[in-house]
Amino acid sequence: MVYVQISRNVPVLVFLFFLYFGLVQIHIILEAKLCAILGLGMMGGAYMTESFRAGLIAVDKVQIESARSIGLSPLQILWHILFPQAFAIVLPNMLSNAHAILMETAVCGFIAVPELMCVTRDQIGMYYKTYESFLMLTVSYVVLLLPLSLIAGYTERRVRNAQFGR
Amino acid sequence: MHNSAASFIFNNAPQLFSGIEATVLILCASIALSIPGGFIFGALRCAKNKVLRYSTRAFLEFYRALPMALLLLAGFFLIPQIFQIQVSGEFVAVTAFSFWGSVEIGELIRGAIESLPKIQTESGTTLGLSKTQLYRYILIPQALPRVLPGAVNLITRMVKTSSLIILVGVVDVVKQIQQIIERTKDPLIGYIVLAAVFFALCFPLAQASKRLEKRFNPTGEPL
Repeated sequence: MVYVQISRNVPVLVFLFFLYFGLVQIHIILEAKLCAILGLGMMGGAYMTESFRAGLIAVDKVQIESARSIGLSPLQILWHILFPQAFAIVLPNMLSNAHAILMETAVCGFIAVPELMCVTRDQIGMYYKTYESFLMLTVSYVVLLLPLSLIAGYTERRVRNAQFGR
Repeated sequence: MHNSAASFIFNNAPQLFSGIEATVLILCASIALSIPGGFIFGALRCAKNKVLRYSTRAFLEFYRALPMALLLLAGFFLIPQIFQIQVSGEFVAVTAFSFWGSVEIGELIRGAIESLPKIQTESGTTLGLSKTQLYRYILIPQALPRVLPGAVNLITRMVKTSSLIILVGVVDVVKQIQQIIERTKDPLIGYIVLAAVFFALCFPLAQASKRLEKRFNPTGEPL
């Protein structure tokens, strides 16, 4: 709970700074990429936790009661009954979280991870081709993000139809 | 090196607060602009005209698909080139954020209005209300409570994303803390304080959003 609240209410950038510059003071030196993965992972983890929790809650109570009445153990209920249904419900949400995380990677340039944004800025610095570089950057992001967002829309429709059919 | 968080804050209070002030001012300006902007954008999104509807949809998807960092940088470098004017980092930050806010709030409003039962529109029309009256007296008052939790949530996201405005040279709280750290050589405490500042700004908003959601939608069914 505390983890989720902290990760959701503090910007990723601040996390990254803390991991990369802050921890050096107590002699924990992490590589930039590792920091980026840890920071984004922490944020993404919090968002995923929240969506998954919502998904577990959204599963009908009758399902749990029925499972219990046929004598499944709590672990079995979780694995065979709750998990598959919750997963179907939260899949679109998880994809949109993935979308958000992908967008947040733009921040990693701040801690010297040579990602898309950082490389583009270098290119501008080297060749002074601002328009072209930004156009390239925009196209790259659209190419990365558009399929994800289309898939998310598709799964959302599928999930909704599945629920109607029930 | 041997600073506690309290003495870190106490010793650098003026600088810290001027940073917080800059961040909060930019956010307030953006939010103040996004609310009317959101109404306009929402109205455009609800329009019957197909061209308007699809062009705003395209704009929305496009704006959502691009990271804020890119928008800020592009605004900062391209606006002066295209319009031949000088822009400050603050101006770019407020512009980018209020566009973002308008688009998102507009989408929230559209979603809320479309989620209202169709019978509301039909009854309104039956009573002989004009389109303006219909929106003014029937649809918008009912849609607003549904918009609120989402809007507060959006503001939380804006606060978090505002840490990016150092990219365009605005001296906000992040930059101020970095400067303090460069002077005091105390990154650990410094960044903890920075995280605490953002937490203090965002947490109440997140809670408020949750409470509003519960209040206007006590059964928890999706709107």
